[in-house]
Amino acid sequence: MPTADDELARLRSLVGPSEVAYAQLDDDLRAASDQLREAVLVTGQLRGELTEMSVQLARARQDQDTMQRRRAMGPMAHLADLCREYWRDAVRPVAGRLVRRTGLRRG
Amino acid sequence: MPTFSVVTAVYDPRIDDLRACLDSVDRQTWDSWQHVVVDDASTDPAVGDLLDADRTPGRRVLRRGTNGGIVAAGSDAIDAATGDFVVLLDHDDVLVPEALERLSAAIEAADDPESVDVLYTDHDLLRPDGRTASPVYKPDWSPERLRNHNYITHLVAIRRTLLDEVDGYRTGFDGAQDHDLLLRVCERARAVVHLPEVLLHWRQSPASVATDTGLKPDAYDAGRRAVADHLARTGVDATVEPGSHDGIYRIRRTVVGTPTVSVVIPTGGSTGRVWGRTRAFVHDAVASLVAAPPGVCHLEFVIVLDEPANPVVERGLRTIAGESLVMVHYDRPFDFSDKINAGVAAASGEFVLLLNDDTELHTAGSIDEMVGLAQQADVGMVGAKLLYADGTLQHGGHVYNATISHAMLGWPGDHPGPNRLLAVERECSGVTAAAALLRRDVFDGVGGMSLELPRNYNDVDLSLRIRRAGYRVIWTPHACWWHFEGRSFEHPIDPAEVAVIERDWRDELRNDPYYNSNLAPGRTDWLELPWRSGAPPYELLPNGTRVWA
Repeated sequence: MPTADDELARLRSLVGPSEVAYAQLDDDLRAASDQLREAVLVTGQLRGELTEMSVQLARARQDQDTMQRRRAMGPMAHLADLCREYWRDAVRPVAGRLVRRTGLRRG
Repeated sequence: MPTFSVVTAVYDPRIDDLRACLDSVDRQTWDSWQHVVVDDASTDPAVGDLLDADRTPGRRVLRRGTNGGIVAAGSDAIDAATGDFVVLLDHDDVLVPEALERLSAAIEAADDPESVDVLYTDHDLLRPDGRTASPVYKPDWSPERLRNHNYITHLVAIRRTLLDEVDGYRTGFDGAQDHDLLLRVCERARAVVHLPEVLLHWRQSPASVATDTGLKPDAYDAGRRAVADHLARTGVDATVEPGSHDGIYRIRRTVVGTPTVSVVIPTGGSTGRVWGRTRAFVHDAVASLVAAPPGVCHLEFVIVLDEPANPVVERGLRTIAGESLVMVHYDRPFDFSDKINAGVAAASGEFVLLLNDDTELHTAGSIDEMVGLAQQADVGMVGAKLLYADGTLQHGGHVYNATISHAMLGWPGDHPGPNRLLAVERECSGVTAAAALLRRDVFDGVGGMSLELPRNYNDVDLSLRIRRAGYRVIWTPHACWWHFEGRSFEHPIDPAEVAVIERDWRDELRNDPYYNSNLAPGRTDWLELPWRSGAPPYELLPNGTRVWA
């Protein structure tokens, strides 16, 4: 197992003849890494904003879809749609709570 | 059947707004109500004229000789209330016609109606043009969140006997009187019920806290004092400061004693490139904790290292952690749960921090933050904010909403989230074990990680068992790590693990109390169901100016 000093000497021989060259290379590497990190974070900020906007787009699209669907509905279809909503929002949650409370689902 | 007293303090509202408020009470589909209106010496004679002309049965109008402010007027109204429940209603807000009927039904539907002391509902904003906007779909009862901000606001109904018990509003808290009142009544409430329906339209105006929270600094100072008083009453040693965003408070808890936290890190000693440099993950995870300014807690590092191990990994750990290192050599086939259990078994701390090796501390003081929360007897587990290498959010608490995922995954890391949910400490259904802190007795008490779930969902199962044992699971934005998990990394999901989690937690995975039934199932980004998102709160012109419609 080579000692740490041996390894250090080997690395230094690879990068240049002087202590200054090695230190400069090390500084350059750190600076490059820092700059890359900054660039990655800026990209992430933009990516995050895209994610947020994609949610807003989904919101707009689904509302547009609902509006178009309702415009195309006749009165009976509209009534049926309202009944479905009432079932989903008012009846099913209460029934679900009752089922959970009585433990029927788990037997 | 419960009776309701709606109480309204009035001071110089726009007449049309007051009329709309009164009309909304008159149009209730529930008959058993009383409306107590206290005119706090309005200067606009039209207010007096409107109230004088009102002959609605059930409405009682009281007049104050001098203007005393919202607390004085509200207290007068509460004193005159005779119903079983007192419903708080601002002088320009509007109840939906079924509001009281739905409150009544919610009380009757409760497991024990007699124990329901506080009910609250969702609300939206009422724009000046009459359109409703920006609905706020709230979580079920979330006491930690209430400390961080008044997420309940309106509509709220409080059992009158409880209001009498706490002596109603307190003087000196004008502007934050409702938050102060809610904190005090909820300390004593037997049951706090959330009704996930928009039953109140909160009128929006440029002068209102509802639209621009920065306009009333006195109110936020009163709120800060209200939270500080609440913490003192409940035995939490902490200071309270203004939060990162208007309307929220930053609670800094004092860690009791100098506890030892065992940081349990299972690792294979792997390496990877992050920000252009190759790192040995576990070395950097430990080094980031060692290099941080020392906190109150002592740290012990329990590293569960796969065998056969690269000797360089262990040597490096000894150099970094020194005497604080406890090595556990793991020679069985990969099983994350078993590795965590083995690590905790070797730990000596009264707290354990479960930590992935591909992490790096982001915010100094994170462990003390988590311990401060976990020292509350009813808190079972505390999760942290995790950021991907690009700064986007990886973990903001779990959401179990016909899917198992992380709240607001991939959003900007500094985003406050809908209704500030990413900027406040709050209850969650679960948190990831990539960075989770527990008291050792809680971990042992629930039996540790399930060996039926060697790869996936073990933290979900652990969170749900902790909650079933009666503890709260809290997520905090004030403890934060980088998590270098690949964004596109797909965990191999074993169908057998899916079967186990579905067998044990089918209902819980579809009824997250900290989400809301008005939000789309299968998502964790607070996207509403179709047609429930309302209008935008204001119109934004192409030049960027806001127009209050």
